[in-house]
Amino acid sequence: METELQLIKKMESNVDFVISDFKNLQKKYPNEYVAIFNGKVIGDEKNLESLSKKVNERVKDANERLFVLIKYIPDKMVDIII
Amino acid sequence: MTRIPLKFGKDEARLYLTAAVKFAEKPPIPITFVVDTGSANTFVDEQQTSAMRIFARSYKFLKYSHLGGTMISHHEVGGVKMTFYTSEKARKDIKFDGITIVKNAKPGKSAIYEPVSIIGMNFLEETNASLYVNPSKGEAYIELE
Repeated sequence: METELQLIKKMESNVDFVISDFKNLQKKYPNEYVAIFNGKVIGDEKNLESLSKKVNERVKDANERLFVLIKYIPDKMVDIII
Repeated sequence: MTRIPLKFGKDEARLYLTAAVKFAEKPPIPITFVVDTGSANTFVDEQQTSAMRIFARSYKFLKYSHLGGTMISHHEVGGVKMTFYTSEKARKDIKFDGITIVKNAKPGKSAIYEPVSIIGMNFLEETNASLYVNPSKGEAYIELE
């Protein structure tokens, strides 16, 4: 079983990918939801529910699905304020 | 003092913090938070917990709040244990009671719902933490006593 710090490190690889590649994500997936796993995009959809289904198909192991980061990628002309 | 480094996403102007969060008797789950001092609340979106079969509907409804252009419902989960990775490469465990699990309260009606988990002001208040951000240096951290 992975330790808490191993869990954090593994998940942070997705965050690092988003931070370093955000502009490319905006070019490739404007106004879409993307699923990021092991530092790469494993699915993209306009609809969150559709993407969740795709993630379940592509990452069968629920323990591995913990490491999927889902993000909405706005295009360059839209800022999201949370 | 303990420093917990934040990851600074300069192209989207966000501060990210990943923690291992333990809900009751469940195994710890890695959760990536956005640090947002504009939010009074700290919460986890159920999209990040659903793989462990932790759903908002399993917990008592607490309140609604607005998030971006939509509305979310908060559900009480009781206290959690949060584990962080410090700048000294050590672990830091914190018990935190002020966290909720949330879900989109108006699915299908809002144009965009981003499933995001937030560390808000109540986390800083309840843990006596301070937040340092220097965007020009790309440096950001939470400091705990």
